[in-house]
Amino acid sequence: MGTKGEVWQGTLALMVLKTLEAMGSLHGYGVARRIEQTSGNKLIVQYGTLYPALLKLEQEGYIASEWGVSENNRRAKFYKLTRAGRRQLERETRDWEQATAILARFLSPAEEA
Amino acid sequence: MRKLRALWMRLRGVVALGKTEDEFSAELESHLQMHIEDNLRAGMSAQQARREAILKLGGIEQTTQAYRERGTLPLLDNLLRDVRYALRGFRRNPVFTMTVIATLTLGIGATTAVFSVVDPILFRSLPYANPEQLVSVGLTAPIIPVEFMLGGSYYDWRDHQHPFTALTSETGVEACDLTEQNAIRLNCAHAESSFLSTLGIAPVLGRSFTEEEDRPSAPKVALISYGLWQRRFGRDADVLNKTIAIDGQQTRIIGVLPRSFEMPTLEPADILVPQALDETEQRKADPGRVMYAFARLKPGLTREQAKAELQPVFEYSLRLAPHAFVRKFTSECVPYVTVSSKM
Repeated sequence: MGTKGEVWQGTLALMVLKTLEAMGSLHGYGVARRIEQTSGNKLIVQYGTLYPALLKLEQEGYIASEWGVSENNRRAKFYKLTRAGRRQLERETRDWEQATAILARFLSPAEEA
Repeated sequence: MRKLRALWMRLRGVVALGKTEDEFSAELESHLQMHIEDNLRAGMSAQQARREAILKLGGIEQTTQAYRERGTLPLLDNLLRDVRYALRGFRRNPVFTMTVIATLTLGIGATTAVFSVVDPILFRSLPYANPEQLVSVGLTAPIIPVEFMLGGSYYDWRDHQHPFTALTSETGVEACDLTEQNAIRLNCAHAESSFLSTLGIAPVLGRSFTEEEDRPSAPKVALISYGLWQRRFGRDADVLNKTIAIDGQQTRIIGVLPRSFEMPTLEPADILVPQALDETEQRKADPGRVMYAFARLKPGLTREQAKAELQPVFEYSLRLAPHAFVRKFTSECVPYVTVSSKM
């Protein structure tokens, strides 16, 4: 097993938004598991940190929540992306791509000397 | 008027969100159940399954605390500022204030979230001596979910309270600038002279400030954080009595805080300075400066007993409070440190 990483500061919100975009409506536990899966189990989500992040996103109006019933007939709170959340996801994705592109340029071997 | 409207809108937002702690417990409980079921399916024993689920969550108590912080703290600063305006503007616009208070009571009810510590590193004990004796103490109102104090009441409480061996106050953390070569922006915490001794914190170098140094006209002194000492002064013991310029004011360094030092609110603090309130003026002031008070219970005293003993000073504050507030005020005395080690 390779070393597992913590979720980098500031990226959890983006992962949550992206997960909800992909999955539609999902409960907190599902979001956490999905993030771990998507990362190929390379990321550890301390589940406790997820809920404050969900609350913050909801306060900001990017996601909305509703109580419902889970696949195993359990009552659970489901989160879904709002219209503002979709826009925010686009924005954050752009920012993130830009940031990684810049970093990649730093890390790649110099082409023009 | 626009400011007041903005306050109303924001508070309505809080109400609309309707995030009660009960609801959150239900959400956590359902999270745990789902995780436990998955673990059982993966072949764990019942006990193992539950233990692993709780571990992965990071502890129920801690998670609830973190959640609560997220729910209240970002608003807190602004909220307190708005309340300050509301109190100040009360005489000018009593009808409006009354409406807000009445409406808010309906909306938020008696939420009395405690101002407690979310330990950033779980299960580490907090850097205060005998933390079980420490409480945060003050007034709460429907619109203010944490205990707060007002300068107009605090000094009377301090003079006449019985349940505590010490009562102290702080007036918050604000941005400040180290205005000298390689100027940097820092966070300055403002506290009373008894602050460190009440929390049971001893500087690693030098001393805390005295009552005399905590007066408005006193020459400026400061304690610096361990981090700042390390970064800026290379942990040089000669840092004591060195003069630095904070926001243009010459300030003498008299001590270095321990590495583990944290403000009760967990706000980052690089420098601790006297709050330097004019006590005589505050005693007369109405409502006075908004502050946070912390106290150490006398040994063996419970919070309930302390609360009962605080009744007379609480009634003093009630007499000062604007009429519309009076019925809404309750005195609070909550355990300050709530780190749980139950797993």
